[in-house]
Amino acid sequence: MTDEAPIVETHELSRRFGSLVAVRDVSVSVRRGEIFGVLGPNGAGKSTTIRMLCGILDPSGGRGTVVGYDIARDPERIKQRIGYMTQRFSLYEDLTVLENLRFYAAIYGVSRRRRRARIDEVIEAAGLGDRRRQLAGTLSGGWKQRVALASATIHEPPLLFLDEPTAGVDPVSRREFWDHIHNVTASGTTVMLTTHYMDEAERCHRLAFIFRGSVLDIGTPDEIVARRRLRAAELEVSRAGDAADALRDEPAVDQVAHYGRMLRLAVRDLADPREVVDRVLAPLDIEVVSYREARVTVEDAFVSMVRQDAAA
Amino acid sequence: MRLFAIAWKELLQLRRDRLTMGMMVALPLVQLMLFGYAINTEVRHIPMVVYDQDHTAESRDLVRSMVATTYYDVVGHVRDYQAIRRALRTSEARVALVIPATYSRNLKRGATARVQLIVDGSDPQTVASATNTAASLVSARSAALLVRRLAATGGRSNPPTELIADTWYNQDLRTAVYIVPGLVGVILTMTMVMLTAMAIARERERGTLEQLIVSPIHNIELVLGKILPYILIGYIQMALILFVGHWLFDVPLVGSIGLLFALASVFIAANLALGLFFSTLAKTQQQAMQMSFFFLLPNILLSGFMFPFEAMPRPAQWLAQALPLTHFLRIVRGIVLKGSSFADVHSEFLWLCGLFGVLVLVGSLRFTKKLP
Repeated sequence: MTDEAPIVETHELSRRFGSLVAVRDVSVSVRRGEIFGVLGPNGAGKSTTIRMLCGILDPSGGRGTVVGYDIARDPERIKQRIGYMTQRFSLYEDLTVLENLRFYAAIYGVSRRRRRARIDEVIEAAGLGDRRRQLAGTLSGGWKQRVALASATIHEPPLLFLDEPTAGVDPVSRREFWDHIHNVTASGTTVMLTTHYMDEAERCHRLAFIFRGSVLDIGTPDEIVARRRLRAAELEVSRAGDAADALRDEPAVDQVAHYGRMLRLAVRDLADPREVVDRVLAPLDIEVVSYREARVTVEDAFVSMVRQDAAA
Repeated sequence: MRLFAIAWKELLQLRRDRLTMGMMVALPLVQLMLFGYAINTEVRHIPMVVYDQDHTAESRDLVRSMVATTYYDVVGHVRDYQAIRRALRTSEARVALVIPATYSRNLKRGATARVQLIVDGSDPQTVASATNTAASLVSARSAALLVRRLAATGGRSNPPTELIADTWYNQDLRTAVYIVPGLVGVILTMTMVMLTAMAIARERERGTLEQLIVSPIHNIELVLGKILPYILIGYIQMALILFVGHWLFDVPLVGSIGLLFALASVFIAANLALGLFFSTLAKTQQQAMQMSFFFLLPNILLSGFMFPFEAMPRPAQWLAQALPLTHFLRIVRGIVLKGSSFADVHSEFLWLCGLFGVLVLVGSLRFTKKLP
């Protein structure tokens, strides 16, 4: 396997639960060293995809390789070379931080000689020093997440799967967590994670948008946003409710959302938002108090894509 | 060794789970007290009313000798059948003795002197105890009378036949002696199945099982690591019941305790394997617990713990053969009460090994490192 070969590659991977298709023909490829985000709403099939890649859920169709091994034929070899962390931070709550780390170190076969040093390393990196003898169940969400991440990386895996790693964690902890993730990848580790937070999606190197089990788009955040050909604006108007209704009826408008007193607007086909606003609101005698063009976000792109897919 | 990592983790968790640990010790002790003190299949002190129409020294002597057996307590004297009916219906008495007015006259004349024993059949155990005792008492008295009469007419002076019943092992026929060794098996069945089923269901419930199956740990390491610590607990329970039973209820420990503990390992392991199987069916700890209790009932009823195996119909006996407890009961009673050697119980041990093999196979086939 050369460094150019993708570390994760799937071809039309599918999974059905009875009559429900949870994942439909997902084809993605993840490059070494990148942070690859799988973005989608709850129930879109993100966790199911990750579980198939980890070798704990059999695919119903398609194929995939992870760290060079086939997910259907060699799941145990894959398991040796990956770290996995779920949104539930599967720690033993009645064990201390140190006991949890020691346990996972032993389970992953970290050699006895290396174990002590490695545990000190992850404790240091996660800033867990003072809490090493605390029961995991008594930690707050953010600290549990740190211990879970430390456990998942105890055997220094080249590939890390994180399934909704920041669910139920406060914003400050989330930011620290992301700094930590970027540190991890700086040392060569690849990270594949799922999230439904749009701000987190923008911090990934590349993204796959997944909705109702299918991939809608793959690319860097900039590429994905550019492909939607949207322009956005934020404006303050005299009658926000009437203005929003009128703008939504205009074919050139992709989406309108309330942001406090402001309206956020995205228009299609790189049309000029100012021109659209004036055209729609002037006949209704709605006064535009302030106007400024805004950056199109991943969230705008995602909402646009999901609406279009749902309408089709 | 990853196996020991699992086992060590399990012990750490057990140590912090005071409730479960307490249960593991309290359960055998409470059951021991209940079965040892409260349960007695031999019914004594049966309440009896007497309807004595004779009112003679002979009739009073009969009542006295019945009371002397300790099986009957006279709770009242009545004057008609109506009163007997009332006494039985209100459960004031379970037995009524009716001595006709002709009793002593017939005795003196050499005719058959009949007495009537009316028993409340709603409880068969009491009926058996009451009628058997009365029957043997009356026939013993008859035999003695007959001998006296024969002697008076110059005939042979010995009864024609005599049964000398000789009980080996548990001479006093104490129920506790029979029950306590059996209790070892029942408690082990209950706790071992439940502990493993719940230990795995708990990991499933809390999501840690997913974390384990995504690791490179081997299936067998995971299963054995889970089971190992509970074998230790099984041994502690077993020792607790046997030694406290010996101390409190004088249950003898005749045979080799070492042999018993060695053979018990297969029995414990069979139950743990069954618990593993249950855990693959249960999604929650509660379901695992319900299944364990559901399994316990046929064990108590069919294994020979409370009711004799020989008294059951054939199909029930076949079913009972498939329960590990049935075979372990024979082993533990044999060794503890009769001093059986390995050769004496080897066929039961082979049964246990066979059942263990089947259970482990079924359990590990179902327990895979995959999500459903």
